[in-house]
Amino acid sequence: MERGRESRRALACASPQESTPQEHSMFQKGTKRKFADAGSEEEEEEEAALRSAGVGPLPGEDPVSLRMLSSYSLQRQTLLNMSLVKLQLCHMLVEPNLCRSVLIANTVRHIQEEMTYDLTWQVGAAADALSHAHTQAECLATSDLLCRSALTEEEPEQQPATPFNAVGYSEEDEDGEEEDVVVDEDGDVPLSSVASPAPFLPGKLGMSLGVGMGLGPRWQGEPMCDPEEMDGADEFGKGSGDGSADDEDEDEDVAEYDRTEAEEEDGDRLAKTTEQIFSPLFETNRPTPVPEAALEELFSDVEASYYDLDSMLTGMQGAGAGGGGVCGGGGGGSGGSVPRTGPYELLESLSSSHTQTHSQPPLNPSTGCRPDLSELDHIMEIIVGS
Amino acid sequence: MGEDGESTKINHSFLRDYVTEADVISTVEFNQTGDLLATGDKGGRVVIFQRETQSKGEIEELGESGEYNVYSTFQSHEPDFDYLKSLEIEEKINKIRWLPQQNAAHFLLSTNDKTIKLWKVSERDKRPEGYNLKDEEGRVKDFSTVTSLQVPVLKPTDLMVEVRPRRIFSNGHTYHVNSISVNSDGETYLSADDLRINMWHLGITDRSFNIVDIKPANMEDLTEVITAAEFHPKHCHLFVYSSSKGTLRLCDMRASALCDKHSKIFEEPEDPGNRSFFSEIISSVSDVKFSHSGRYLLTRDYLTVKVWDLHMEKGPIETYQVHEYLRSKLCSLYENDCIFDKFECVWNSTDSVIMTGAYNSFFRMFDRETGRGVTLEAWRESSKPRAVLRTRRVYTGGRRRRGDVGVDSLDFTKKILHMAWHPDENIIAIAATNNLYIFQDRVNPETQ
Repeated sequence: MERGRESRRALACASPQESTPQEHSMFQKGTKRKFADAGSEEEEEEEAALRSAGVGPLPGEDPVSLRMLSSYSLQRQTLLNMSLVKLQLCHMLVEPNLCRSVLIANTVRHIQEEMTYDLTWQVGAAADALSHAHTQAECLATSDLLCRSALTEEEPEQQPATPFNAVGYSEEDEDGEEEDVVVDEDGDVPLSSVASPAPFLPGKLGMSLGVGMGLGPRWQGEPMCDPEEMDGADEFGKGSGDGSADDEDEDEDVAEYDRTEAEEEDGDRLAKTTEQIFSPLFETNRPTPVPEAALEELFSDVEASYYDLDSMLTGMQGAGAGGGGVCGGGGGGSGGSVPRTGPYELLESLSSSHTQTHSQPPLNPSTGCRPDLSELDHIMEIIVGS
Repeated sequence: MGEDGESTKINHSFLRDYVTEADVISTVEFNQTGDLLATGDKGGRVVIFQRETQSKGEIEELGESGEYNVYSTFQSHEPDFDYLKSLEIEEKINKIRWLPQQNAAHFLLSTNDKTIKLWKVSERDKRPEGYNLKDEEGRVKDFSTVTSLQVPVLKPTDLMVEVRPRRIFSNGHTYHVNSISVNSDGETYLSADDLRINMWHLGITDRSFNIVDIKPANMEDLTEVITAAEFHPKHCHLFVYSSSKGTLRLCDMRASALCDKHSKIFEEPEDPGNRSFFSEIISSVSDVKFSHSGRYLLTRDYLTVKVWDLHMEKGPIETYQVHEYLRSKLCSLYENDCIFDKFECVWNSTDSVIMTGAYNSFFRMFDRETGRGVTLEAWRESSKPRAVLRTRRVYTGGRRRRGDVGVDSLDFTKKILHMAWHPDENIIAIAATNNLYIFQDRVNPETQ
């Protein structure tokens, strides 16, 4: 577990700006170390989980290709994160280049579709293995992905530093109200607000992507954790004391997970989400602004959820056991309001809100995946410092 | 005094950087005879060069080609501000197109993101002298001093080039204008932005005719934009436009008023072996040009140039790799935004050679007959005036020759995006950031 954490730190520490071959190999080493250091028992555990999930290695397939797939998914995720950042960081004064925006948006859509496709594959396969801890590798153990050789040639991007992953995965909040707010927020000031709800845009997409990665459903409290943990997540969600509509949604969502139609909804949500994110980017009109109070309330939820998701991720990348426990936590309710700011101020406010939420430990200790607070702080320092 | 010195130092460096950015050339275009070469830059200025003609006594067979010298400079567009959207409108000149010459004056169209302007460039080398009622400075004379009548005569003076705006075509575009093209009928021209193409009459500025509109009802459904458009060189009813998805659409204005429905669509099926997340981005066509004959189309996407036959829609007839070695670097190029660079492409006068730009101040020429390509460099350090251009090579494996440049040492900030080829002779104009290079083929100055 400890060695796994170290390797994750190595991944997180690398600056996303560098793209030298050294970084490439560093990325690779980190990946390998994750598997190697954790010892053979982790591999065995994975393979056992895989077999029980019914998606075990095909004859002739070996763990190497599983690692390749995992690396592919990481590359894909990095690409997605980069694209989302590009979509947001537009020039403030001059109208952004529409052609560029459209091309990036199409790339994002393409990645999303692929991830949704992966999800539909997984959910069917993983329906029998809800109680096992899953790693990223097994999520991608589909024959379809094995055929995709194109991306293995691509220069693996610079580190998908965990902070970026945190950006990519955010709270799975099915609050339609929140989505509307995002749109209006963006539409209000097309350019500046594109940057300001930075946690939103990737977040909403990331939610769907988390789904695509197989993390979404687990995030909502199911396959990742044991049934007991799932209940714990439930309670956590309820006990967050936000008093917002999140709780009800959480309950709904958790319940939904029992259904195998979940992936279809995710696909729909994905499409809907995509539209609502891209439309403000392409529109040059300004719809009416949304009341501040509603915005602040929702902003506060997202901030806390970032923290939770990130910790969930790091917990997951470790031994994998008890990775998803915190997932249910929507609330934590830092309650901090976020004024409309640029992306860098947002990052700083995120870090400060993180320190706030640190003082609020998860309500359910039985989740088993306590976030590594110091590690998160370290990561935030890196982002903010750069 | 010390303080003043400090502030002047600061001001100088600020001005220097500012001026440099505004000097970046954004478009290059020869006129129909090749005697005039116009360049537009990011600062909204247009500089016109004129070819030095031989003195009347000399014979042209010597193969001595005249040099191009500055003829006129003027400020075409000013920075503007859209108050409704609170956005700046850049004054950068996106395109310049010359009109066919009809009288002594020259006309050109220049456009920035929103407004197209028609400029008249005329010479004045004579002025009347000897007025009866006005003196030399133009002041009215005191009548009592006038004792006799004289006839004013025209006296030669120093050449003066006057440039005046004759038409301003504004408010025609919501999105950024990327192309203008003068029709062969000599009366109309088209202007294309990301989603619409308008047709204007050169004499009418208050309205235009929308001929293509690909804006979806719901902007969320937007997946494709127009990247370039051009009229057919001979048929005034045909035009082509390219898209960000790599398709070309040939439209016939006789078919319907609104040409959303194309007459022909040119599209190459995707190569499944080369599929990646960047496939769509690198297939986006950045420039499209009709051949002089009107039979072929030349397109440029990120890694290749393609020649299409208007009679064959299913794929290009020729494909040339411009910098295939970048295919493995697409992720980095995506990250630093280089993958969105829009390179132009040009034909030579006989449509036998095509040329396009690349990175590291390199540009490439392809001989269509042999299929071979050559890499040349437009860089001041390595070429002196009148020196012969050496061919360059990017090292991609195999035996490394002296002078080869490795892929990782390519300078991606030095990109050759804009260029032009003389309509009759083997003279090319290459824009490399702030600098304009003009190369002439001394061996074969006249194309057969």
